[in-house]
Amino acid sequence: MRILTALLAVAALAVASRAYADAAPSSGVDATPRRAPLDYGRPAPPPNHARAAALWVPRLLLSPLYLTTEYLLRAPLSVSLTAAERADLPRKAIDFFLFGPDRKAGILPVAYIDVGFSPSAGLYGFWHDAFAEGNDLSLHTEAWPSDWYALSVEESLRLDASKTLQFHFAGVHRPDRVFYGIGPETLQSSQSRYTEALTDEDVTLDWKYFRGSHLAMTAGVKSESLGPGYHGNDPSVEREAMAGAFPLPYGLGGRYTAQTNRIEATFDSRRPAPAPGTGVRLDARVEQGSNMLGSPASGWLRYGGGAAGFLDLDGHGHVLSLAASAMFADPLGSEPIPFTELVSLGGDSPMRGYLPRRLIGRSAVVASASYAWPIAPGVGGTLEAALGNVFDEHLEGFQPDLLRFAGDVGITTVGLTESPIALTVGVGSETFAQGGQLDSVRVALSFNRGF
Amino acid sequence: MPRLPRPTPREPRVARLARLRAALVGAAGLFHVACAPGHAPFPLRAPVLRDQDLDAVRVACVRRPDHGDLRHVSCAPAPSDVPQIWTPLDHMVFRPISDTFSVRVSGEAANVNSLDEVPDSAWFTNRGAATGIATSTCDPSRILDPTRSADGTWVIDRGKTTGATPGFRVTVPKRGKYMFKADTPDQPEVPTAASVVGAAIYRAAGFNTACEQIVYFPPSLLKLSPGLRYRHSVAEDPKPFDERALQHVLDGAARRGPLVRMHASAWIPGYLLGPFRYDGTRSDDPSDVIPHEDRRDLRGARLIAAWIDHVDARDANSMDAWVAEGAVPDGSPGHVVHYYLDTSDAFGPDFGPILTPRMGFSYTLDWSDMAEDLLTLGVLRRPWFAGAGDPGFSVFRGFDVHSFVPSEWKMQYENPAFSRMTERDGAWMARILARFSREQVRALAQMAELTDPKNTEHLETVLEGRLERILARYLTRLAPIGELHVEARDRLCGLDLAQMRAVREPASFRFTARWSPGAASPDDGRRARGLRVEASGAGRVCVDLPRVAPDAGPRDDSPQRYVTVHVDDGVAQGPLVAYLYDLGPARGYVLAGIDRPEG
Repeated sequence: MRILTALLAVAALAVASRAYADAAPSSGVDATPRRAPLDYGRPAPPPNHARAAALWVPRLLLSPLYLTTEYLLRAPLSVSLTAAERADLPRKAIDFFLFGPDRKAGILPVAYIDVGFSPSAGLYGFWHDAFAEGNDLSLHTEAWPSDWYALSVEESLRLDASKTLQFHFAGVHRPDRVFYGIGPETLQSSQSRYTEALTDEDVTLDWKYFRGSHLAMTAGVKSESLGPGYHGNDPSVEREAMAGAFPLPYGLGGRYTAQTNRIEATFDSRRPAPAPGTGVRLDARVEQGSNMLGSPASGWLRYGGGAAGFLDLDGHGHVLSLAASAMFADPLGSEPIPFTELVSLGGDSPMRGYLPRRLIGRSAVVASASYAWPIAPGVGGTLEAALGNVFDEHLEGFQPDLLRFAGDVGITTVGLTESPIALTVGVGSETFAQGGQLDSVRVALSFNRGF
Repeated sequence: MPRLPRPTPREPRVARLARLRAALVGAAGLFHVACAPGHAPFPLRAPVLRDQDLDAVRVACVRRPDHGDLRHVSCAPAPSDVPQIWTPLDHMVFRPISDTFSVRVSGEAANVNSLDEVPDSAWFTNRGAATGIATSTCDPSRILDPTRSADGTWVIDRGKTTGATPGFRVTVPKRGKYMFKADTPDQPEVPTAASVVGAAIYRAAGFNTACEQIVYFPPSLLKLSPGLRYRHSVAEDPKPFDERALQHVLDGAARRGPLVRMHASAWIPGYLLGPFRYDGTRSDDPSDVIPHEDRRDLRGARLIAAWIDHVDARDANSMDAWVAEGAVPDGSPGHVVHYYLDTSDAFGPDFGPILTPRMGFSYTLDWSDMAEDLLTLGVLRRPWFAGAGDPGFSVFRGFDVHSFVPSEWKMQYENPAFSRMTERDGAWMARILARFSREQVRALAQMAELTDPKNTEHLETVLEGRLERILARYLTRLAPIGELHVEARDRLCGLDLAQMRAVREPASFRFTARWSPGAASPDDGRRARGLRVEASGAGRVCVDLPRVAPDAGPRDDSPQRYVTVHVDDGVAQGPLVAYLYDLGPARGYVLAGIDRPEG
């Protein structure tokens, strides 16, 4: 009872204080009541009852949307954002994610959604000029319960205006990698899953020698462990192989550790945006991998190249391009190449309309036409159509009717962020010999590079 | 409906039909008079020339801490800020959604008097044809003269806490407080020029502005107070405004020899309440009863913004000030005065390489443009890709004539008042802008005090060219005849501003006039009669009015005295319609109302 009395007394005191704070000595004169609008002397136009009545039809139909957006979204946001600004919360929120002098360090949320795979969410941390000018650190981690997790750490040392030395470590464990078999005639219906546990450490010397052109030399060690996987109702690769869909791929169920050496050379004559995007790009790469644990000694050699021409139709980012590329993978030694080291198409590789690593083989050839155009400041649209497929060694068995079609349309940020934010919707077909029907769809929304 | 008399027995059929026909014609005539041409007759009364918001009001007194005085009592509206994050977000995203789902339609502006003009108010003053262009917006007591100031006497007492333009506040002895703002190295002299010239234009047109002036001064006049801070937006941490920061501002400013060029904006008199919003009303101002988006003055200002490419004409670049009648700044009674501020973005806004090409053509987030470009794969020809701006004058960025389409001009994000500008609102402002003569436009360009004469000449050319495009668009749809008045009791005279400004070839202007009694439309051929028109060729036009009523007899406001006059100039698509009362030969005509219907 005493406590209740005390609480009531405190409450009464608070109310009285507020009233005292708001009230002021009365001057004895009342405030002017709100005025009625003045009659400005213009006769009102004749009412258009038919028009007024007609307007109520769409108003009634849209009233649920209006009430929702107006009173559940706009009004609360107006109050809360205004109050937040008065409390200096925007600056504090930005300071929560970005910190240090000149905000050179920060931690940002990232996410990746690729329909057909488990989504992932995580954090991207960066620190420019960490400990010394020209030394940039980044850490990228994503995960999805319970077996999907990944980590990437990178240190990038700017040696001068054109050369960078990068130290990179990545570790990925995900059970939803897709596999459909190897070769040009794999079926969408053979979709199965495997688990990939990968660690990759490498060091790269990158030399940007002309506009977008660069030469990169990388040496590293990677370790892969491949086992049964799962996602949704998809079977594991082992089960699908037992069902006779395809032979069990080499490397599955095992582990390999390889020392890799890689050289990538790109010549790109295009100037950076906002300059016109006309130009050519030539690229070539070769990677040699040596299995450090296997006996007898084995390894692989992956090599390939491509050429692309870009034409900026009006000098303002409406760019038409044609590209062609070929990729090859050859074993070194008597052992086959682990299937994860074969050439692949799909995902961020050529033929984006397919899921990542949809097509795997010893060689691949792709020709594509694409179009990019600006939609809004810093946002662009992309459209691509590609013909290609994987084949046996050195394009053995190539026939035009074994080619597939992949197309995609997307919206992406341009120049606003370090990694573009992109929404991609794509389709892929079976081979033309199989009928050429569209049999796969891909929808991906990315706020980072992905693993 | 006239009462039909009872027919006599055995009345001939022909006679009965004749009476029925007469009754029907009479009824039709009454219907015609009562229901055409679109509104009731204008009442016979003096036009409203002064709005009620100029009258003093009393505001409830509340305790409001002020400068450390916790017990301070204020009897003025509460100061408030326009949120920097929510306001553009609302204008760009949520308001358009709300307007779409509520199927909101806007009509004509609310604060328009019987003469189709805007009364003097706390927002706008009819200054009589853009007088005083050549002079500054400043009272002589606020003009700064650096040559009469000693070193260290201009005290910097506050850093700038909003806006991208670098600057600081200065208190000058015997002059008061000023916000000093500098140009940037990328665009020397233009932002300061735009601030001064833009303010002069707004003021001459009738709006309230601060005193704006360009100042060349030696940096030694400045004395920096300790402990100041600055930031550009609410998202930034405040930084110390120290000697290094000050030097950074001065290093980026344009110079003439040892003198730094900056633009000084005098502190607005009164108790500052913060910016006004372009929508809604101020709830604690009893006189602010017209939603701002329905004010003709705010709507019509879109054309001034378009003229000078003032894409930053947003809420934050405005100011309300409470003007108390007594000595206490925030005491009652008083009234609120509304000011336009900061036109420094005009004459070629620079918002970086990504946004700048679109400024004036598309909103930052322009949903309709984005949807069109997405669905059409970008095949539409967009003006921002056509290359705005003129070779050799990159300092003015995209400020040019050839790419300017007045009716399609847009600011950086949607402005609720601008979006609701009607043809009549635009025509009203065009009539005001038509009074800026070529000589006055030249004087405006010279006010910019640009060092290179070629830039001054270019600025004059672009200002004149853009003005001509505005006038060509907005003085040729609705009748451009203004300053309508009755002379010598029976002559209706006015000024055709399109002819005065040579919007078309002189031979295009062919004035005709006709009249009809009552409110009936002179388009009714049976009732319309021609009138003699006298046109001077320089825009002045007069029409001789007929006599329809004697001095005595019907009441002054009787429909029998009411006359409708249509005047066409042969160029505009619609006529000028004047509504008058003939009070007889002794007292003459009284102009009761004006309308400018669309053709």
